[in-house]
Amino acid sequence: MQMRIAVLSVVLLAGLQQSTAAMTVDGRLTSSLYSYEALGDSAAATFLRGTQGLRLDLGQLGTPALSVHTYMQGSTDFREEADNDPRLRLYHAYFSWKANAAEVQVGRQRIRAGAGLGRIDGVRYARRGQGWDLDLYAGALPPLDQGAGLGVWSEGNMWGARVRASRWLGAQFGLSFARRQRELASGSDLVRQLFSLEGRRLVRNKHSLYMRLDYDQKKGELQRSQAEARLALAPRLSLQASYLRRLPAVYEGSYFSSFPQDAYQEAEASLYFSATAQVRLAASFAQILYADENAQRLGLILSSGTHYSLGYYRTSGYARASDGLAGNLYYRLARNLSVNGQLDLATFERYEEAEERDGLASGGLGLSWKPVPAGLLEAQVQALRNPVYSSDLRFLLRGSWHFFKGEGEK
Amino acid sequence: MRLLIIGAWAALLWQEAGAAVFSHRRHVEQEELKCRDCHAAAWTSTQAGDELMPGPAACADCHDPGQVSTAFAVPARNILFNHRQHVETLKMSCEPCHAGAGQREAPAPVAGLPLMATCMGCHNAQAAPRECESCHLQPRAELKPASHQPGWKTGHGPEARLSDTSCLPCHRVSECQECHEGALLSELGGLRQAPFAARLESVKGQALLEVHGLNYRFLHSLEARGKGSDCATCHELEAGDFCAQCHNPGGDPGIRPVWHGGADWVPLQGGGRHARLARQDLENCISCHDLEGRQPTCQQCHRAGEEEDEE
Repeated sequence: MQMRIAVLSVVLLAGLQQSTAAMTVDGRLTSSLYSYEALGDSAAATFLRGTQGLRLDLGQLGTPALSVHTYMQGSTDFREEADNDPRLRLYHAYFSWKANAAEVQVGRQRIRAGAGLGRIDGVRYARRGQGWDLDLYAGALPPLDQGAGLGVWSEGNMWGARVRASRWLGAQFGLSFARRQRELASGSDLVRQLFSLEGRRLVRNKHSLYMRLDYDQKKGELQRSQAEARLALAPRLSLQASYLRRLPAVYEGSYFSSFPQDAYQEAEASLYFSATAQVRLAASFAQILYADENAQRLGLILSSGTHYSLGYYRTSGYARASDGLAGNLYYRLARNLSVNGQLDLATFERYEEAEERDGLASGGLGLSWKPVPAGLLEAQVQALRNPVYSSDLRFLLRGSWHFFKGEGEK
Repeated sequence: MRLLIIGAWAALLWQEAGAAVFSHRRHVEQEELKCRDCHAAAWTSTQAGDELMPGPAACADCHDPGQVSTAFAVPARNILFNHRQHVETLKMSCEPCHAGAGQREAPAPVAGLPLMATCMGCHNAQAAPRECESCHLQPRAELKPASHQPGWKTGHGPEARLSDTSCLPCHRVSECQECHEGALLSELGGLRQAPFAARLESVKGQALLEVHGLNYRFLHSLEARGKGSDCATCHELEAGDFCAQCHNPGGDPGIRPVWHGGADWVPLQGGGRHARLARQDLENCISCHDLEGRQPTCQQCHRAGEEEDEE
């Protein structure tokens, strides 16, 4: 089956070659080398992991309506042998036929359609109108090994639909349905059928309200209820308040679906204050309510533009205690040369009521150099300290090159 | 003569107001000047920061020296732009990018610059590349809109779900996949290691300071219980595969956490503490115990219990 589809794709592309003088090519090659030390079969070993990514979009394949899009990544290790090396991971690869307001996509593709989220090897039809759009899709779920192999419908599939209206009652609405099924090695099926209703309204272009309800048809109850309000309290001060109630993500057919389970609730408030056009302060506090216990989450972030930020994070209660400090910097040394750095420090309880906390530290210092507009070279040194390693030094090299051929170019 | 009067008038106003007074419309429509007559430098410019305003010499062709000032404010431009390529190589005229500049009654160093939407009219991946890096040196740092507040990484869902048009000018689907499908992770796993320390090191994904922090494996359980983010948004948890890769490699029963056990964990009667925790946060149990929707450890007791119930 895979071979037939591959051959068919090549034949289709070759057939189109006759009239592909106007074909557009838009792609990016990204190569990475990552050196790190880890325990091998018996002793510490140095690994040198290489990754090659390719994003390729070919347009105007004989007709302006037809294009093909793919994104894949291969990886292997140059120093140590690991299982399944070399590996190829195909994120998406599909043909797209776009005419007027309609689009048909065939192949491996990512679905983002409300209740339907994930990847399929299948077909998607989308149509856009004045103030509305429609998505219909169906396909097999790609194998869990994340390789390039095609999914098989009987082993896993997802299909569904979504309709959105952006100008109804002055708000945006989305209604979607998705059915997802995966066959387990034991022979039983995991199934989820979800309806999702969403709405968002902007008030005077300053405030916004959002709500979402997910209904699990198999369980016969609301899987998720969510509401969120963003309010501009003053020109420089805004408040975001949100509420979420969610049931555990357990599919029908799972052994665990027969156990009683409670939903948790989460209430969060965040304040955003712009001291100046550049300097901003964000503070958020969340209370998570479980049946018998509570957890808390606190975050404070001070940032200057996109160049510097310093954050403090804290968890407590059922989440276990932790305190963390995270700093980021980005500074341009020259027009096409910049330096970036990160530092993360944390202490945490490895388990409840631990007598002592464990400490964590990690940091990175990198350089980004853009010698030509289409190329980017990055180098980064990373250091880690954690309960496993008192000292761990890693190196990352990454180069990326963008290539493009536009309409009429040879 | 007319130019002289205009020049003198302009110079007078300049002195009075302390700012340049200049009418593009007058120069273009009445004097029939071409863009190149004053902005000749644009035809050889290769960088956005080049000075393209007319110097004193250009104005002196028509104006008396000293009567006009050419001290126009030039905005800083931190983008990559090659005027020569656009006007000489691609033979583009000025109007598509600087629409309406010739009709302005005032200097237009800022207002005359094209909006990004104008650039995107051609930079649509068909006529010209759409990559942010084509024009921006560090797009991730420099182009972040005001809506991308701290916390945006985990809170962008509502906007993205209802209106993907606001994401698409800057982001591609492959960028969604970098986070939602771990395309930025360097996969380090695949090695089979038995000892406890080695198991910790055999975590499959390493985030290169992009998605999760480098020491995230030590903190992810806290985040999962603190609901800092919804793991299932990105990770396929339905078949227990993702968590089990580390928590239960190769069907190994795994490591018994220190908080399992004790007299109240599974008492002789009732479910005890484990039942209470399971009911409260079943996902926490599943993260280790779900082997494709089943678990021999649980089934040792619960299967028997079910049979008893049936009887």
